[in-house]
Amino acid sequence: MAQNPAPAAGLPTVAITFDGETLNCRAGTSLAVALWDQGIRHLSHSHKFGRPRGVTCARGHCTNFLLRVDGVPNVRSCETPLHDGMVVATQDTGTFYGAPMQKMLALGSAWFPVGFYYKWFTRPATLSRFFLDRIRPMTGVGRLPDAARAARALPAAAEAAATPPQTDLGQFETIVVGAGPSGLRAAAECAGTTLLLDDHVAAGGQRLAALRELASCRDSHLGRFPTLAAALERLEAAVARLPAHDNVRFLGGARAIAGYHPDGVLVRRGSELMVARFKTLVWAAGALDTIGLFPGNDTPGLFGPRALYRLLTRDGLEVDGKHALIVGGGLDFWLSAALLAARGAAISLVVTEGGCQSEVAAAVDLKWALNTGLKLDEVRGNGQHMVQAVFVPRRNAPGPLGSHMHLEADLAVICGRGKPAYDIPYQLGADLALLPERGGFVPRALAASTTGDLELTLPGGARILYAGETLGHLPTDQVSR
Amino acid sequence: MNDNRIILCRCEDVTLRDFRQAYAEGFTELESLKRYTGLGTGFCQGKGCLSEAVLELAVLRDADPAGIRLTNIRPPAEPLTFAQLAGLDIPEHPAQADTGEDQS
Repeated sequence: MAQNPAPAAGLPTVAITFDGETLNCRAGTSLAVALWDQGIRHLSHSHKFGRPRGVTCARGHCTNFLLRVDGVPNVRSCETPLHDGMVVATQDTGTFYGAPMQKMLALGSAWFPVGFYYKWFTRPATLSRFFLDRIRPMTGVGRLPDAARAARALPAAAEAAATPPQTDLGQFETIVVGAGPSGLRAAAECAGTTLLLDDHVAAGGQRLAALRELASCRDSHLGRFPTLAAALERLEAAVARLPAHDNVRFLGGARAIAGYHPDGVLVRRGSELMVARFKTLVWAAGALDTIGLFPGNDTPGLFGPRALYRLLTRDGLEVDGKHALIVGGGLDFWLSAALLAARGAAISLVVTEGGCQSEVAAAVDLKWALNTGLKLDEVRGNGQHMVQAVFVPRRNAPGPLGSHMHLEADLAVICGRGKPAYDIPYQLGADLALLPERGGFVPRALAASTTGDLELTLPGGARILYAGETLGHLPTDQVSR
Repeated sequence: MNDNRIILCRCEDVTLRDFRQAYAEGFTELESLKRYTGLGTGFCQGKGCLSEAVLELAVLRDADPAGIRLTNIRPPAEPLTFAQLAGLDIPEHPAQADTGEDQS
């Protein structure tokens, strides 16, 4: 689980090849973090504008961290552990015409408005065919897995041929998706057979690993942040109660990736797929990071707090001596700040939300660089290594240039309020609506509800119980419940 | 603020300006905006952009975001390989044995 950052000497290293260059990386990290440590943050370029992109969500969702690994295309680099002799290649220079054409396309993309392919080059038909034959290959046509690696590229097929894997988890009374505080609470209340899933290896939710890591650091200052200490205590207590329930089967490192009408769930653990059925689904999958909409919001080096926790605790991202900028407010803001500081990073804080007086006082006491009354206006990438954030005064209209504030850092953490996870209930038939006060897609019925949890009956008779952060932001701050 | 540098959908490189322009061209439903711009059709399947797009659409329409019809979010929520699906050993479901209809 939580592993301390490795000192440079005396620890095992593995040699990997990245685009033909040999790199000696610290063992025990993910591929994305190993490359980050080597100063390689730009893992790909966006395919229209050619903007540099890197790891953002660290949980296998975002698009720009895909690499070709050992001859296999589209490997999620943030989920892939290193091994000796790994051959890694970027995969966005693969247009039919080669890398120079890719660069030219990126430069020219600004003159191609949205939807141009529906309007241009369509008439007359004979010319249209001439253009299409030349335009189509420009986007790249992809490359199949290398033949020699086919067995490794297609592990499921290889295994299926040898011995049929046990991929049917069976029928459960309840499937709880997410083993955070709400998921644990729901699982403890279940009487029948229960399957508890979480994409972390250990139960406790997205913040527990970070809180444990913080508590294990020498200069954690946990005593100065009572909300963090209390959150850790509550989560540890909830996790400690789990073994007492024999009817609950916990499956770590696994996530529900599809819901099939009326009562089926597809579960992925690594490259392994499993199916399970339920009578009640408890949807406690928590929230996803929101970076927000501002110019440069895709700059590599920008993370949400949940991604940061994963990178620091799961992959042991090295931040000692690095400069980190933390923007936002709330529990995740202070947890990110305390954890980065405890791991040796120089931190600058920009509090953009109100409240948290006692935490602000603690930060001032600790002599952390702290700014308030600012609004994030823009982020610029500055080469491979730095991000530069531009702030303007809050409330007032953007004033003259002098009133802007520029802060530069190795990485920036944007602590928005997060948006509730929503996809599996939608696929199972739940009626969702975007409620802005909740921060994302939640059941439409929630608009009329003021109580905590929410229960829905699906068209097929199965039930979904919403719990915790999947309900969005609650009126009172119950995030750490 | 330069909305051409605000990326709404990272997977398909759709900027906020693209989205607004598509709306101005008459694509006023989320479904047609998705088809026209490619928004939400990439690797993340809309996890990064769908709620932001609905909020922006509500601003453009000057309407309640709760009233905006969502696009269909089909399973699976993450890309899989055919090999992974082929390796699945799915038992017959008693309630499903007689229905062959597609829910899309």
